[in-house]
Amino acid sequence: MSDFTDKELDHLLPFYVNNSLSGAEKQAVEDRLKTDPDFEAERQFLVALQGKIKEQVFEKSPGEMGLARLHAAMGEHGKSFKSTDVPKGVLANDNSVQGWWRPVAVAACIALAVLGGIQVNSTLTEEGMVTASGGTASGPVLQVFFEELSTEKDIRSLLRQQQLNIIEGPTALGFYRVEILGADKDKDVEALIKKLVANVHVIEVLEE
Amino acid sequence: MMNVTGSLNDLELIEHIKKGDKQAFDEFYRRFEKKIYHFIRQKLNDPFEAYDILHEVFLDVWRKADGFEGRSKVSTWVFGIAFNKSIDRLRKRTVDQLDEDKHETMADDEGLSPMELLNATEEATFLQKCVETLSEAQRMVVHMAFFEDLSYPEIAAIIDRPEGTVKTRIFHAKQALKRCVEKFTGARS
Repeated sequence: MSDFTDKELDHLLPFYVNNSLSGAEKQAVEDRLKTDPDFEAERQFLVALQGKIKEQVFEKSPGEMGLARLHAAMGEHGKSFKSTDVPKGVLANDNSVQGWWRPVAVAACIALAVLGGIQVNSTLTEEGMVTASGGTASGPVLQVFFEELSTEKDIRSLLRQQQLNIIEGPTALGFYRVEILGADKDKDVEALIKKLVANVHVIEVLEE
Repeated sequence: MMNVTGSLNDLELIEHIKKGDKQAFDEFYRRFEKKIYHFIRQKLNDPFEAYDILHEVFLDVWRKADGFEGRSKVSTWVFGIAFNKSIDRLRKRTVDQLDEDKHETMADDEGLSPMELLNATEEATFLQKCVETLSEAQRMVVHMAFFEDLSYPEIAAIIDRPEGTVKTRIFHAKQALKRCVEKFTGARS
């Protein structure tokens, strides 16, 4: 005698049809199928339903194009991180259109940096900070993408807190190039990047 | 050059990805990309949104592989990431679409209009219409059960709900689809 009620077996039947049941559950379903024509009719309906669902055709998946986009985001020449642990609702523009340009922008930045070797002049405006017109760096340089709704005050406050100096930005592509200041030059860059991306104002950080 | 990663199983690939092996990541992507895309696409009617979610899922695989502890199958883990991201996107669209309890009988209540029935001249189109009338929650489990052939414990792990909920949800979805089909066949005769 089966240990399962008819209701339990009704609920197991779809998983019998998709062949994911085993052991006692599978046996109990098969036993009932042999003796209950209505249950067998349900099985046939589910088999037909499954067949039709499997016939559904979606447009082609992104394939290799998607992989290329991922490579750009992963950072072929540096380490790229994205703040995925930001609390829900904090991201200002988390829509599909904006999502597309970032990897492209990052890739473009890398290409520019590699090919051209950005040469810019910095102009100090206050202690430890420079203007957005550009500057040169002696240590590791990071490219930081901020949320669109982040204010200048938010940005400067974060950079000051992390002992970072703006050497260029915001660029046409919307990021700041920053360098690590003075005594902190030797600190762990990867740890710093992780700290930065944990901030709600930061979208992405790339090490040049 | 021989493709070594192609012979690795899913778990071995993840171990390589943890170490930053991009070749292993590429293999992993090629192995799962279509399935995950279709899974997301089933939930989001917008293919562009689905592209973006797919992208985010695989970025998470790359960045968070070292957080995978092997407590579930790799496929369950990846589908779980895709599920959560799809849910987040859907929640942004509407706050209560996914309230499973409110929608158990939704398909029956929101049956096809006569015009939709007339337009659904092909069976496949009709079935698609019926599936679309299911609640988001029901549609997800139907896809996982009948398109991906996942077991109910796997589905429960992915959507983070008790196994009993999964079985009940599938059962109600099946009943709703059955009523929808009967309505259609009745309308045609």
